[in-house]
Amino acid sequence: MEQLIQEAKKLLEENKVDVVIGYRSSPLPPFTRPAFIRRPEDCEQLVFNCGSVYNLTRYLIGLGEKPAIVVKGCEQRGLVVLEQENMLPRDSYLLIGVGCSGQVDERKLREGGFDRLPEQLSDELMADKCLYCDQHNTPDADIFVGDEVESVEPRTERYAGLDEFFAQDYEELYHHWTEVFSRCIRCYACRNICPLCYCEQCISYVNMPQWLPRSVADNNNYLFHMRRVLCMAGRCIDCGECERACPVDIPLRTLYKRIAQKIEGFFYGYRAGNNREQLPPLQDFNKDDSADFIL
Amino acid sequence: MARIGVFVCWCGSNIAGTVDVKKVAEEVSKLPYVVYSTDYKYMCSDPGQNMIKEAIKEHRLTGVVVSACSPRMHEVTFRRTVQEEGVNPYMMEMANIREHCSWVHDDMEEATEKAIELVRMAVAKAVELEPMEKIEVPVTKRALVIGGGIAGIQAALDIADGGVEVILVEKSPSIGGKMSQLDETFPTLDCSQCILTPKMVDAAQHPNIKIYSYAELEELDGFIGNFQARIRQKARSVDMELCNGCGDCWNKCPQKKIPSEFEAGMSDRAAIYVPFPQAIPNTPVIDRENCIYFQSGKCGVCAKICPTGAISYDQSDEFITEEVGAVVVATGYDLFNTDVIGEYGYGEIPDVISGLQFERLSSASGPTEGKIVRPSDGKKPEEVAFICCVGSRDDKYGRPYCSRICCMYTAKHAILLHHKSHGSQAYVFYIDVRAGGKGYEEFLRRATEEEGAIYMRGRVSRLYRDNGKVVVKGADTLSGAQIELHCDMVVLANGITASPGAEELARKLSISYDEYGFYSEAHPKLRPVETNTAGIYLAGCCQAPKDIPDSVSQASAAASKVLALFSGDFLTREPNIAEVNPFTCTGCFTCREVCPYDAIDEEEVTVHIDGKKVTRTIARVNLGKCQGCGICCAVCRSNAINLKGTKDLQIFRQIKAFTGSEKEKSDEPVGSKK
Ligand SMILES: Cc1cc2nc3c(=O)[nH]c(=O)nc-3n(C[C@H](O)[C@H](O)[C@H](O)COP(=O)(O)OP(=O)(O)OC[C@H]3O[C@@H](n4cnc5c(N)ncnc54)[C@H](O)[C@@H]3O)c2cc1C
Ligand code: SF4
Ligand code: SF4
Ligand code: SF4
Ligand code: SF4
Repeated sequence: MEQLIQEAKKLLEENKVDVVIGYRSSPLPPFTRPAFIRRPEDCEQLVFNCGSVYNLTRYLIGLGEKPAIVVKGCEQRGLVVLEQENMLPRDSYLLIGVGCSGQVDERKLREGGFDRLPEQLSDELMADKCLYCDQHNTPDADIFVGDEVESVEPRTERYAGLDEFFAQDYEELYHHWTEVFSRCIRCYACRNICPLCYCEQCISYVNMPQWLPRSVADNNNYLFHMRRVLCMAGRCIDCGECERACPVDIPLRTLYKRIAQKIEGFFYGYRAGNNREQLPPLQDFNKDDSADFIL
Repeated sequence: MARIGVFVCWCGSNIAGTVDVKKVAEEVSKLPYVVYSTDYKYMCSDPGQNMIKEAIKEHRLTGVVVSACSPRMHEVTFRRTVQEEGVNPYMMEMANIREHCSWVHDDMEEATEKAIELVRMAVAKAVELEPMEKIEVPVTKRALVIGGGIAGIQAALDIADGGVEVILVEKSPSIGGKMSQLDETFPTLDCSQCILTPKMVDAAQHPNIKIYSYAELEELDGFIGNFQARIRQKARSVDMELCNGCGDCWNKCPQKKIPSEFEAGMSDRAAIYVPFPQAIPNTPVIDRENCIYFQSGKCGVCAKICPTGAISYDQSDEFITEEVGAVVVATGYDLFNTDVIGEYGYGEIPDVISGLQFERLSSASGPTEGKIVRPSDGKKPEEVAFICCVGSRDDKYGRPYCSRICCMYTAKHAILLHHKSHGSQAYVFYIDVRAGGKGYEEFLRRATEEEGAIYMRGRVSRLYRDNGKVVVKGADTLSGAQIELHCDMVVLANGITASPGAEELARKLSISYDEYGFYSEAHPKLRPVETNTAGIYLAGCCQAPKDIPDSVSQASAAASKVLALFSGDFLTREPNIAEVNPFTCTGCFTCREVCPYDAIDEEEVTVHIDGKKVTRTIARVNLGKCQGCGICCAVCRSNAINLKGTKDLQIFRQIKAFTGSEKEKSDEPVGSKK
């Protein structure tokens, strides 16, 4: 932590950046919140721990100040996608890398009535994306603070259970999801927190013209979610923020992971944000591309 | 507020025989925005068109729906009609109730119902139509011709004669292409060189033609009327200004053991060479791969011997950019590589040769000065077998197509053998003989009836050497007999393949090609010399196998297209192209990545986001390049890019008019400005 504070201070004192975006403590789960530090003396507030769940890269587009930002390994992939999509040049921010051995599942903290972060984060309390994480240290960092995390064995598989789940027949799946989506209140928190949902006029709710009916009805919700899956195809980096933000616990990642799994299978093992040089499948064309998914 | 008029056409009984046109007109008159509807026997006739004009005046129509045949048929007609009455031509929409309805149904009631739905959808779209103007782009009146074979030369000459400057880019050291290697040509047996050389000279001396030989296209930028061609002039190692073509260098060059490409490997050339005596330009090039100086730093004989000091070892590739308005691609073909047919032993059995090698043997300027002899021992071949369709019409080698010229050049070879090698006998193995051109059948009959060639229908299964002879084994499929023929020489009529590097060039030009690498024409019948990329045309064998007459015809056709294109100072283009909404475009440029025509440019805009002024880079459609294919619209996540004339909203409205609830169908469109 000390190193993070010192580096942040230095950056602000030397006017290398206008703002350091990181985490500071908070009394409520997950016991941190985003911090925007503009004065060197405030750097003392910076923390990084297993409650630093927020994906701060969401703040970068349209920021208007030169930032340094604390980014975890999984989230760095989003920056790669944003760069590929011409939204965020790599030189528009300083990347503060960290080693992260896992983050809490905020919901479990709440349900378990915790009043502070656990000393040692158990697998039971850990966010499920962290159990199969394969990028614990932020790649491509301008400054790396703290210790690197030595190799951690994944405990689960990224796409575990998906094949079995989606093997159900279409009718069953349709009913399942209609029912799940019936809880959705169309608050758009999932869309608003997504680091890759930068469209100013998201077609989920734009009304000139109105592409999707906005009222909360089963059909409309189904349409909204299934269409958003298409936006996330080949782009979702599985940072997990949508599910965390959803007030009614919609398991959105089941869908986004399924499409990521399919794309990985169809397009030469492509995973969003893994490799800056590899063009996203939608932008690339290869004569021997798989066409199996075309109806 | 939109005021739509609907005009239902009978098309004689074509439509009225199956669709109750009166009922259609009456039903659609109840639709929102429709202020007038009527029906008439022939809407496209003068009186029909006048009805539309009258109605526009009388009912102050802002848009017109003509419910008749396919827009392919009469869209232009009716656009002109409404325009003549002062309505923007793009405010006219057609509902196709003929091809899509009356012609494909016979139940009157159902067909009528369908016709009403089709018109309902057209009206829904018409309400959303927007006036559009044709696009004007300035033209650079210069043409680029790629490939200097007979097709490229002909195209260049025709264009240049039309008063337009031409840049002719040829990959090899000389123009002339394959035709320069041929002996006499079917079907008239005139000498290839004698008819080609004058054309080569014309091209070289034409004030409007600039030739870059030993050069290749590196990159093509821009769009119809406004291309920038970046050309790589490969290092010749010889100064074109100084060299007078005396030939001392290639005579003295100690490295003389390089198989000559021009002689199809039948004789050797030096490391510094001109491909053939009539080459244009007549300046040699140094083949650096085989030059002793370039390989080991020693030698330098040519530099010492050259009387004008033209040898320049330190020349390097140069890049030139030429501005042109149109491109003719004439990169020709290559020959099927017979090495892959193991059974025929090409390359192993010296007396098994290719058709092109036979041309060189027979040519008076060739390695044997026109004496037809066996490569193995230089003796006269008494019996010669010719095998047709080698690598053509053969799924085994992935080439199901017919190469179109081999039947004819084989007949020619049989005749030439008879002429030049008295007493020799030609045997031709064929699958079936294709002789469709003018004078071709007669030419073939001449080979069999007057020149004594023996034709045998059948496939040859194997060639092998036996006692100085080549044994041809196969079956005569007409008699069913097994054949074993002992010949002195065998000529393989190898088929035609796309020229090497054809696909790479296609990518540089953004044109499409078929599975064999031949370039695709825009329409197989009606647009045979255009490509799908505006301003790029095709000539000769690069499009498909063909003979000289056809190559020349296509070249002249391409030239006429270029001259037509250059006849005005501006190009007008249909406005149905993509358009970016600057408020919703995020600048992710996924559209640019997928656009096959490189039609997405960048534009800086200043917008207000959350009260902050932000300057962003967003997409802009290039009016000259966009072909209106719509791929960009499909990938844009925020639907910020749209095809004018078929905007999402317009289609959306049509779908809604068809599928929506009764209320929705007649509802004011959501988000409509109307
Ligand atoms: C054995 C044989 C006998 C034949 N006999 C006859 C006959 O008797 N009568 C008849 O009508 N037809 C005959 N033909 C067919 C004839 O050769 C072709 O119809 C004719 O040559 C086609 O001309 P072209 O200009 O399209 O192609 P080509 O002659 O192949 O010319 C293409 C030119 O483009 C150049 N080029 C290729 N790629 C590039 C590039 N990327 N950049 C720049 N330049 C490039 C090549 O170097 C070449 O100079 C015969 C063919 C063969 C094989
Ligand atoms: S996925 Fe990896 S990097 Fe991301 S929070 Fe979990 S452990 Fe950290
Ligand atoms: S859901 Fe799609 S359209 Fe909406 S903001 Fe995200 S990427 Fe853009
Ligand atoms: S966050 Fe949850 S409730 Fe809100 S729109 Fe997304 S899925 Fe629906
Ligand atoms: S419609 Fe779009 S993808 Fe197609 S040519 Fe125009 S800009 Fe390119």
